[in-house]
Amino acid sequence: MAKPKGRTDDMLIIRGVNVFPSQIETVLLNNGYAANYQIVVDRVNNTDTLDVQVEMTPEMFTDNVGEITERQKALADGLKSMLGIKAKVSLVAPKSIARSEGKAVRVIDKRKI
Amino acid sequence: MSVKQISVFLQNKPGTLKQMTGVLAAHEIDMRALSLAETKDFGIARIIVDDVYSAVNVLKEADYVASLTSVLVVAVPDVPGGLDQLLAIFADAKVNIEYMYAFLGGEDTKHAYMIFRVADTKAAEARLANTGLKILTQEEIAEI
Repeated sequence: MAKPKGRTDDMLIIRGVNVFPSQIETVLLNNGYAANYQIVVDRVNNTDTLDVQVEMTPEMFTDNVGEITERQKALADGLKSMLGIKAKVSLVAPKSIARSEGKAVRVIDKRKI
Repeated sequence: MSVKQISVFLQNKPGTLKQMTGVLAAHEIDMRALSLAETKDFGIARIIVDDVYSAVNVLKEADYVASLTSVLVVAVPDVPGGLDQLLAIFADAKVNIEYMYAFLGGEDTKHAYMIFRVADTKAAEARLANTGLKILTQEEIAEI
């Protein structure tokens, strides 16, 4: 049996792939980002999109735009290899993501069934 | 001799720059120069201010991510070829400029001030030492 990835009731199905928020959290921590994140799932032209929003932290910030975009890309690559689907990474301002008040706020699913 | 520049992380959406200038305005911090570097979803505002210490403090209190970078501020004679002369010195010394921007200095109408971010600030400073070009200090920036 494969190692458990998370609770099935947290699971999202994006482009037919099972995605657990805990997997995304693991990649964020491995890349040195804070665990405060938000997942936005939407459907554009009949394709699901996954946008992972991460807050900028003083540790991750440098004056060099190239360096920040490189780290952003490394995180996107890490997510892709962990999840098996492409994810977009957006860097947002500190404290702009609501602090956890239960698991629901982490995921915003805009898809209309 | 180098001057501290404050780099601030901003999201690339309407109103974020105004919010930052609002924080600075509320604490009566005077900006000398500003430059924006942008990507698709975020940007970095680079500012030179009169009071670096309080500017960093008020920005941190307002939850901004900011960092300090050493930059060189050089007074360039405001005549044709002024900048060219300065860049020739840098080119000879193989000083690589990461980015630069400019501002005109208040009452001093004979000079334009160029702000340089270079890999090795000290080496670039040493090259300019005997060229007659003036490098501005933090105190001089505050007084302009």
